[in-house]
Amino acid sequence: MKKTALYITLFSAFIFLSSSSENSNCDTKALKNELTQELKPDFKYDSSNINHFTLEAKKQGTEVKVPIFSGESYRLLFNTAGISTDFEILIYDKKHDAKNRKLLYSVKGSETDKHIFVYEPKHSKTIYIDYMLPGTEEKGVTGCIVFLMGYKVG
Amino acid sequence: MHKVTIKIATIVVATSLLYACGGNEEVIIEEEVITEEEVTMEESDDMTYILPSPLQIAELFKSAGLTYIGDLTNSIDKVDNYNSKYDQKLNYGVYASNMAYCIMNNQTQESINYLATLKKLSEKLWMTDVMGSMGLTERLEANVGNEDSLTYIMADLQMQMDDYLDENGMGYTGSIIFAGAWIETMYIAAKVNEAEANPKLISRLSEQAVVLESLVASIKQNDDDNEFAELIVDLEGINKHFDGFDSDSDEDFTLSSEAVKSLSDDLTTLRTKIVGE
Repeated sequence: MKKTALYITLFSAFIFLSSSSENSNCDTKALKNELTQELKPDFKYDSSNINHFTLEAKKQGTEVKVPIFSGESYRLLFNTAGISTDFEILIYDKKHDAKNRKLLYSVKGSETDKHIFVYEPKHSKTIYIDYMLPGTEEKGVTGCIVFLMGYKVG
Repeated sequence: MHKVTIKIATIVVATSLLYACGGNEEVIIEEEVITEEEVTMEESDDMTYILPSPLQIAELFKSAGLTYIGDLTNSIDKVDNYNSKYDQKLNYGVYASNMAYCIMNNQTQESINYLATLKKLSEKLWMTDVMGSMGLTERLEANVGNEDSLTYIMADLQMQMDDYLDENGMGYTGSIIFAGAWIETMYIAAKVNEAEANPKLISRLSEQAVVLESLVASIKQNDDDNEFAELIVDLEGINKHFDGFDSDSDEDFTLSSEAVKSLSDDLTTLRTKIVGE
């Protein structure tokens, strides 16, 4: 009886760990390294950010503020290989509660097979990146989106 | 959490046959049905702030005419004076800024000296892995005189640092290190501008308002224990010089000559507080 309980516990733990690793494929260093290749040869590494997500029952979003200086060139890179569900990346000229904000770039996971996305802003002020994620009834679905940016002065 | 309502407008075309007086006439009635969908959006307090690399800021200043004045940088002899983790983090940023300034002005030996100082501080901060595997000194020596290659090496160092902080869940440390680097870079630029007023440099100094705004917000987010309260107050004091700046405005913002002078004075005071006399 004790052995059966032990087997059930071990089997449950195995199933839980398997599903966790399936949902979360966030080897952030590898994902970042993949993006740094996209900077070559003209752009220098500037900064990066990793957004880790746990999906909830409701749709959710989070916003990232990125400074852009006038007259310079920037390359913004996103790696979505760490997220197995649908997602949207939206880039705006103003923050989420501002009136008349303009959409500068968008990508929807369900409409593409790619996992690396590149945006080079023409806008020379602060920009705002919104990550939008779907709701799910499934528990423990996690993932990440890796962002990295490069710059070229002059 | 802040709720954002996304309105999905669907045009439903309902066709009705209306009979007007005296004859048959087909009238199309368009009815707009609005479906509201609530999306949970984190409030601005929880916004993630991207801080630029100190190297980018230094390069922007250099392209605007930042010249080299040797005695502006912090002495490497002071490194042993920084005993608390807080002072070590801030001064790691200061020395990183000094190294960038020297690299961009082909002061290779000075750069190597600053690198050795950064290594020393990184050991005190238990961040030895950041420097260990890169062969930085060898790379710097091999690229003496090649400013472009040297700045790429500095950018690699920044990336290693960011990776290390991410992997070890130390993002807040990055904000404190950046604060030290930002104050030092601004101090150097303000002092160079004092020596010879440069409108392009003033324009670049003015642009930094957006970085300061994000820096203060970023430190506040990581200060549950009020550990950085004094630094926040000091940075907010600096922020007062950028009064009138609006990051969402389409208008350019430029500091007046008086504002640049008072900003320079306050940066000097704050910088002295960080590096010591």
